[in-house]
Amino acid sequence: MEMAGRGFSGSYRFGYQGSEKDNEVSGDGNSYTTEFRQLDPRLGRWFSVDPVFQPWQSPYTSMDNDPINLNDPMGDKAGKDDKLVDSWINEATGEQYELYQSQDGKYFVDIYSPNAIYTGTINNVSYDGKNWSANGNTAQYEPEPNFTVENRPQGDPNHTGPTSAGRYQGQPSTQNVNRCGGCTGMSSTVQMTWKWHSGNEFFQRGWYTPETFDYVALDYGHGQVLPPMGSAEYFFLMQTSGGVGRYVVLSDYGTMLHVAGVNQQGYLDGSLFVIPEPLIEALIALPVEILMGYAELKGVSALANVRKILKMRSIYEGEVRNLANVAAEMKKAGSTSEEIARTVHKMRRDLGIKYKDMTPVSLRKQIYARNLRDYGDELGPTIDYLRNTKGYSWERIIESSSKPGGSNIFGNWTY
Amino acid sequence: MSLFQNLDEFIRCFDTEKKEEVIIHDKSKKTNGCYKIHENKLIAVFAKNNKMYFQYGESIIEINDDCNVLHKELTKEQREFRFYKKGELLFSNKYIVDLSLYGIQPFDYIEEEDFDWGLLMSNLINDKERREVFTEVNSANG
Repeated sequence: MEMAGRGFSGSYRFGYQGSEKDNEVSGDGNSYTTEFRQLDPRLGRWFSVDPVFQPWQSPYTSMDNDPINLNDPMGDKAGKDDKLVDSWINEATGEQYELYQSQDGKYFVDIYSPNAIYTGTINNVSYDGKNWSANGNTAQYEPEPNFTVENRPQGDPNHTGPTSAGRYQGQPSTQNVNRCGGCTGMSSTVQMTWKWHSGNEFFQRGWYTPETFDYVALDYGHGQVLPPMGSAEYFFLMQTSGGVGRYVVLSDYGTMLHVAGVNQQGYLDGSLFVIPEPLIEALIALPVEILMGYAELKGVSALANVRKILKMRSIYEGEVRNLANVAAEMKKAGSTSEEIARTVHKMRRDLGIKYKDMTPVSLRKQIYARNLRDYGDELGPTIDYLRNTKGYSWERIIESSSKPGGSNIFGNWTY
Repeated sequence: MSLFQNLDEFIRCFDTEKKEEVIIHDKSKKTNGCYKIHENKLIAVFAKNNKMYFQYGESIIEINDDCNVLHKELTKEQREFRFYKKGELLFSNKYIVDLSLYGIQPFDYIEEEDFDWGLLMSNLINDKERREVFTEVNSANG
């Protein structure tokens, strides 16, 4: 029962412990709805039995008969309020962040923005007032927290509200957070969940694990959490701004994966975030050449193509490294360094020809033109160029010929 | 006649007698150095009579163990090149690199220094083994 002068008037529907009022049942403030059951605050009793059976007390008991110290916003288990550790405001977005520590020692962040509330939970975290430390890695997150919220993902399988109300966006510093659960390091310890609040509607979301992020981006067919989304999703593997490792997978479903490597299951892994629809439309409208040439991947075949490239890269690396064995055999047979260098250099160039079909025609033309311009040879630097211009010894040519290095399309593989 | 190889375009060379760039399509041409035109100045490394030199504009400095280059990545695109001899800064320059054509496919046989003249010259000057090969090969050509 509400105390005089402490209630809200008008259409605001929430009250005691943040629960939604059922005013139409027993009058103002006399009944509340939670996730699991309804509460009569006048009696201090639930209308239905406890979904979590506790043999020492009645299944209708609320707040363990201690409403001063405990609460039960879900209706399943009474407990103490979480402790507010810190709060700050992101001045750029106007969003307010509150860092809490729950009774079990875990930290989570509530993020408030005009149209959304998200809650992220971060395990194995310590906090010393300035720094968050997770699994041995320390990161300075202030004034920027480890994630911000701009909108919610359309790919959320539990989503029941309006899709345009909000999006989740990971920051670069969340790379460790969003790794897949099967990987090593702190990635396997981090989970996130969120609540979403829009207007007068409140939805409790389930766990959204890092594995799910993978599935959202690439592997919905494999995922156990997400149902198949059909073949309407298009994937684009593209380079963001040049240089090694700056690759993303873009889905027209609204997700973008910053590729960090390949996980133990062989799937692309990295930080996922959702981009605004106008940006997606703009990116999709780009010419295929700019989208890495591997672009325009569709549905399941998208994943197959990406895997094919990964597999071919793996085979290619093996063949390149095998050139070191060729060099060793030649040396054993008495060949000179120059003879060995010329042989393995030619073999390396031949490998480039062998794998040329993996490069789309438009991109291949671009690469050949670049090589012809820079080295006078469409296959890349000639042995004379390596000697004259780069000052490479025969030994260095042998070494460089048998190292894949160079342009690893997926940057630094971490697994 | 001495020819330097342009680092941006294979058919382009610098003729040191004419002091101008020339176009040579012959792939068997003999060069004795490489260069970059930056802010209308010639920046080159070359070899002659078994010695290696660094040239900036009209200034020519012999490269030996007293020389070293500090190459810094200032931003994603901006680099700084500093040439020291006996600890004295003789030349420094900031420039922009274009890596848009680097790493665009997974089966390439190229390196970042192929797209960054400062990094290439830095590696040539700081690495004694490369210095020796460069001097030997290019002296024979010049």
